[in-house]
Amino acid sequence: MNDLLATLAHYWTYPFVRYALVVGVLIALCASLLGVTLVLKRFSFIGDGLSHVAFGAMAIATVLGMTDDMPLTLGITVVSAILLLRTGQNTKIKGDAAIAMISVGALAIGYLLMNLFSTSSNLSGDVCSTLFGSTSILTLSQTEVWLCVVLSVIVVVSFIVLYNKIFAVTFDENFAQAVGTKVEGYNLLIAILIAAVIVLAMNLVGSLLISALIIFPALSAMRIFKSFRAVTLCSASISVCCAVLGMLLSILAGTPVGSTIVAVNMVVFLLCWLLGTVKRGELL
Amino acid sequence: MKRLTIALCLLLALSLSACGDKGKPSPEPSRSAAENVDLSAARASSPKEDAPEPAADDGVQADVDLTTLSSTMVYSEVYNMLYANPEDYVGKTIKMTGTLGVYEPIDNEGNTIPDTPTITACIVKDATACCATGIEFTPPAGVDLPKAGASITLVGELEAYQDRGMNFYRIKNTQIL
Repeated sequence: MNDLLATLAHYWTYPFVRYALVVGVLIALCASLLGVTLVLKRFSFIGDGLSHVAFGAMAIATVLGMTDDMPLTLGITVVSAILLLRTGQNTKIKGDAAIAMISVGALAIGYLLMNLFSTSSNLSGDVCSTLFGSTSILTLSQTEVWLCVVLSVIVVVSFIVLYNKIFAVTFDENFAQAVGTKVEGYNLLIAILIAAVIVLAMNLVGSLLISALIIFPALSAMRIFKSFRAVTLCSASISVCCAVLGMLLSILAGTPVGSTIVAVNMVVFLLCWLLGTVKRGELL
Repeated sequence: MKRLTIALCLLLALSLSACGDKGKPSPEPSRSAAENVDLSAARASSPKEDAPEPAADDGVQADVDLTTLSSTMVYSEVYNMLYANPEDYVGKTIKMTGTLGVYEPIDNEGNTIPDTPTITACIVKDATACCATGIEFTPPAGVDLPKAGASITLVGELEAYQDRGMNFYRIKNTQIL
């Protein structure tokens, strides 16, 4: 145990480890807050869809030779989020089909563009790193860290300030609209926040595993608590703890960061499921 | 009782499940457009089979000892040394374990380009083994290097140099341990 603590203390002296933990905590917090809303609105897989759109946008930015792909990636992802979340119930292509269509289309176009116009000497490595996160979280520059911090603060503050409206829009859009809430505006805001979180989270767990950050903490919390506030707080706590534990485990054991975080989330979900089952007296 | 049985079966299934293609080779990196560099040393093989052996405790001290770090940390630290903050490491003694890479510049017809130096590097991979990075080193005079692709542990001083107007970094005064 002393050796483990000494190793962790040694790793803490590396600035990129501190950056990774700070950014990881913030991303996990933002993803979990919005994850509760998405899971309740039956849009759990939108994280996957938007992350694939972000991958496609990054491919376009790479082909265009842009040194900083964040503006284009964020812009295209925000537009896609708006299209997916604002379509509502009276559309010809329903939510899940729309997500699937945009998701696979963006992934395919992105990889096709990178193959046709590749300027990298290791295309597969770049693609793999983007899809699975790899060590992206451990190679952040100070500028990227500050950008993540600013975006995360905006997401968290927006959620806290607009908590009651988001609650109303999540549970009963029609009633919220009937009492004068600007439902379309809040759906637009949620879409923008989700897009921002997705683009940030790609650094942590990669495109393919982002859904885990959104879904698992919310579902774990729902096994134990029933009120929206309690689920939200529990989801945030679980997400942050899993992200920190996952990153520390991956650093110590030399495992991929994204996969380790998701694996920890899965274990916690199972524990919460068991706890919830015992709590409701259904197990015995 | 039924729910308990289902829960136990689920836990058992998860504990027995395994996945992954441990023997699947990762793709070979493409050649650069300017020079056909021989990338035989970087040709992929299973990351488990070619994982560098952990360095023995040889008592050699260094300012930056990468041999005590996990593979995830080593890749990140090398990235930090070469791309993020190289000026913080120039002049420091570096000790690292990796795979030996030997690069002989060749032309489009596969002939060695005369008067161009062979580059030797110590290569490290990230945890997913889809990305690799490494540090060039100056081989010690009169010492036979192992075959390309072999595990190697070395120590030396990091220096900066310029080539064709670009900054590069390599380890000089290298000792092979």
